[in-house]
Amino acid sequence: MGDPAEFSEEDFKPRGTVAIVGLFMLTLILLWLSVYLILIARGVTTT
Amino acid sequence: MLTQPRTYQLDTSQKRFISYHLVIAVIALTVGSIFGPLQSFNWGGLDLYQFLEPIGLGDYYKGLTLHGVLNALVWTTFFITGFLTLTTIVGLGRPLKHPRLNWAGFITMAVGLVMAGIPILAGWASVLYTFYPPLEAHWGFYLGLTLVVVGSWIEGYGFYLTYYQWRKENPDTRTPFITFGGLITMVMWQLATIGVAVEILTMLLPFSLGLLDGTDPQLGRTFFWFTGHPLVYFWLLPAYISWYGLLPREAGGKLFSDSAARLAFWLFLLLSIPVGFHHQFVDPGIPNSWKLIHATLTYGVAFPSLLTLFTVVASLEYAGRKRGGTGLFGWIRALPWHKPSVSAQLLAGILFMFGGIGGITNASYNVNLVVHNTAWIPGHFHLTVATAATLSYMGISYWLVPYLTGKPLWKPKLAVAQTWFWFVGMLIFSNAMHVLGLLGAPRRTDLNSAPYVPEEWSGHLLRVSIGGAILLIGVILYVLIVYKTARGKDHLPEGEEIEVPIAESITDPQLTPMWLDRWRPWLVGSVALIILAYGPQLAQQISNAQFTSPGFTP
Repeated sequence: MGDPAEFSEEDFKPRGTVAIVGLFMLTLILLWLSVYLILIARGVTTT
Repeated sequence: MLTQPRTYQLDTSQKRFISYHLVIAVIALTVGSIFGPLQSFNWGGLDLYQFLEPIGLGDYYKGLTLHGVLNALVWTTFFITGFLTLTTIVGLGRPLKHPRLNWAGFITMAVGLVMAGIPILAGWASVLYTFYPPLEAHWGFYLGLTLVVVGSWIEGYGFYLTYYQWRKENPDTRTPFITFGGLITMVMWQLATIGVAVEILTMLLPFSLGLLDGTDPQLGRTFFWFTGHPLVYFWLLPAYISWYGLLPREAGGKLFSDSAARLAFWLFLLLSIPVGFHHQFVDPGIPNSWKLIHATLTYGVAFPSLLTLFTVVASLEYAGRKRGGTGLFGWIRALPWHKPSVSAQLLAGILFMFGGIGGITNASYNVNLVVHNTAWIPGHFHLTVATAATLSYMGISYWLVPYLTGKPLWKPKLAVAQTWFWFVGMLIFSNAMHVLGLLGAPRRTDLNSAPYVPEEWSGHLLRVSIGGAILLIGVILYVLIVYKTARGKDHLPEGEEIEVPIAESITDPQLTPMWLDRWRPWLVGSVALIILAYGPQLAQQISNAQFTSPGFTP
C-alpha cells in the first residue's frame, strides 16, 4: 500500500481500468468462441 | 458513517413512504426466494415440494411462477419505485410536488399485487412470469399485474412533475445525476411497458374473460418482448445510478466522468427497447431480416454497457489509489471491502461482467441456437436481475435502511459475509446453469420428474442445488439483517446522522455539454427508433393475427 497523501487527482490515469477492460474483452471473445465452436461441432441442419 | 456536505434531509413522512416500498419489496423477496432453492433442490433430485402439498404449494410450476413474479417483478418494481422516490427528492433537494399522486401510485401497485397474488396462490395462474399465451391464467392475475405497472407509471408522473417545477426554477443547471438517472429509468420503463399493456388489455384480459375464443401466441410474444428486454434495464439502471452516482463516494472517490455517465443513460433509453426480437430468434413468424436488425441494435447496447464498465471501474480505481492502492491492480485491494454496501456492489459488478458476456452470446443470431430455451438463459438472467440488480439493491439497503430508520446497521460484519454468500452461491449456481444449458438441459422444466436426464448432467444439477442452498443462506441473512436493523432498539447517537452518499464528479457537472441534459432530442430519437424497428413488423403481425389458438390452463 502506498501513501494516500501522494495521490494526485491531476496525474490520475486509469491504467488498471484499461487493463481490466482489455481482459474483459479477451474473456468475452474466448467464451463467445467456445460457444461458437459448440455450434460448429453440432454440424449443419439440412432440409 | 458518511461524512460529506449536508444533502437535503427527508422528513418523517417521506422516509415512511419510501420505507413502505421497501417493506413490500423485502416481503416479496422473502416469499419468492423460498421457492428458488426448492427448484434448485428439485433439479438435484430432492423434491421438497411434496412437503408443501398439504398447504397447496406442492406444484413445481406454481412455485416457479411465485419465484419469478415475486422476485423478478415485485421485489424489483417496489424497490425501484421507492429508490427513485429518494433519488428524485434528494437529488433535486425538494419534496415531491404532488405526494398524494405518488401515494395513489403506490396504493395502486399494492392493490395490483394482492389481485395478482391470489390467483397464483390458488393455482389459477401457474403461467410463469413470462405468461406466454396460449398459457391461460385467471383474469385477476393479468389485471393485478396491469395495476402494478399502472401504479408505477403514476409514481413516475409524480417524479416528472417534481422535476418540471425544479427545471423551471433552474433552467441552466445540470440535472443532479441521481435524479437524471432515475427519470431516464422511469421514462424508459413507461415506453417499454406499452408492449405488455397492449398485450394484456387487447389480448390476455379479453381472452381470460371469455370475450375472445382464442389467442395468437406469436403476437403475444412479440408484445411481451417489446417490454421483456427493456425490463432488464429497468432492473439494471437503478443499480447503475448507484454504481455511478453513489458507490464512488462510498468507496472514498469520485465519479470519473459525469458526461460519460449521462451519455450511457441516454443510450440505454435509445437502444434498450427496439431489440426484443433477439428473444424470438426461433419464432417462425418473424422474418430473418427483422431478427438481424434487432440483433444489430442489441450489439449497440453493448456500447453503453462497456462505457459503464469503464467509467465505474475508473471511478473505483480513483478511490482505490486515493486510499493508497498501488500497481496495476493493487488499488482493488485498497477499496473498502469491509463496508457491506461497497462489498455487495463490487461483487455484483464482478459477476455481472460474466452476465454481459452471456448477453453477447444470446444476442448472436446463430450462436443463440445453442443456448435458446436452455438452462443457460436462467443462468444468464440470475447474473443480471438476481446479482447485478438484486445484490446491488441489497448493498443499497445497507445504508438506506439505517438512513430511513435512524438506526445503525445490525452486525455490519455479518452483512459483509452475506454479500459473499450471495456471490459464492450465485457463482456456483449460475456456472452450473450455463454448463447445463450447453449440454442441452431445458429451462422451465421439472427435471426431477423428467425421464430423459442423462448422467452427464447429474454433477452440474447437484451444483445447481448447492448454489441454491448457499443463496438461501444469503437471502435469509439479508432479511434478518434488514429486519433486525429496522426493528432494533438502538438509535444512532445524538448528532450523528446518515446522509445519502452522493458522489462528486471529478469534473464539474456544469461543464457537461448541455445536449446531455436535454430531453427532447433523445425522446424523439427513442420513439422514432422504436417505430422504425417495430412498426412495420408489428403492423404485419397485427394485420395477420388469428385469435384461434385455444387456451391452455396448467
